[in-house]
Amino acid sequence: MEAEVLAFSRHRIATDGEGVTTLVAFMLCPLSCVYCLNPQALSLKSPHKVYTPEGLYDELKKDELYFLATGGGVTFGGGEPLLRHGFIRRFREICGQAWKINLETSLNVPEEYLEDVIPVTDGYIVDVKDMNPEIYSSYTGKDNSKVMRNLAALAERGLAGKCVIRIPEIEGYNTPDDVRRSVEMIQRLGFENIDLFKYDIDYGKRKRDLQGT
Amino acid sequence: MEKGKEICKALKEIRRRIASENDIEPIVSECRHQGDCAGTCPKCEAEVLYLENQLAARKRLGKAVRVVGLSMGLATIAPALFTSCDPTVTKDGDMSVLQGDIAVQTTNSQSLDGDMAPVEDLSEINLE
Repeated sequence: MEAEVLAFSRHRIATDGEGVTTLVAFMLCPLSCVYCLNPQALSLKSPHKVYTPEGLYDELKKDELYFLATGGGVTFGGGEPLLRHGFIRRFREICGQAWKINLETSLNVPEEYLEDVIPVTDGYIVDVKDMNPEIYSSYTGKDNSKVMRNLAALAERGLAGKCVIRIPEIEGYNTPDDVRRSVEMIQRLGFENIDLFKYDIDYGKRKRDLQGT
Repeated sequence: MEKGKEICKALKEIRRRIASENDIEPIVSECRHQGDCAGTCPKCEAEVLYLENQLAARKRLGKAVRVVGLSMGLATIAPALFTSCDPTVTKDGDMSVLQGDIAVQTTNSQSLDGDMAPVEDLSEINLE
């Protein structure tokens, strides 16, 4: 079992999970967001490395003391980490229960991918873009029916408290009123931890131009 | 790279606590590095290795080893870290420690924490 990894970011402190974490960015994503932060993750033509779960663990365990002392661990992002659900499950078997595993995900994947990692995941950071299907589609190029199903699945399993739902305001795509409606929908599903912010579209444009996408 | 130095300080404090709790002689050398700091360096990594070796030695001697949860609540040991990195300001004024791995906030030009360097060029990157 192998997975393509774009990069690591070590020693992140209370940034994407409790304590000291290492962010592992996987390659590939089902979405084509207009202002994607990591467009180099979208194509395997971009530079990357290939890891087995065992090899990745060997790379990350150098920070185990920090993880254990602070309640931290690994945050899988990307790209879309749920495309690597089997890899993540195997990684948990190797790293044990002491490391926290968080996922930064769009949830726009088949429900069985999510179901596969629920038993091994401590926290979810979910960027839902906008709950309006038309807005979502215009910004990501995909529909959000899978996102809705997976959000409902998390809520039904009583996992809402493990989730941070990120809702961006994206200039040219949604408005503060759209954001408010998304918040209301999310809250109706039972989620309380909601992170509201604005995209820096100039940065996104620069990244896109650099990547030539 | 001020942020890198703050990370370095926080990690050093974690190491100090682990050493203290396990009766390990701490490495007390002062970092005299000037200029860019990525949050860690070969000297810091060597200190981690030293700690690991000391802890392993204690285990071999049948002594108790305590690491888990020693530095929970990092904000209390490195408060500067959490005031210098411009935490995200949400619309309702709440402060959030989540930063832009998935997206970038206009409120915070320092929020590019998730900006990834290709591993081919740099096998590990640290906070910018």
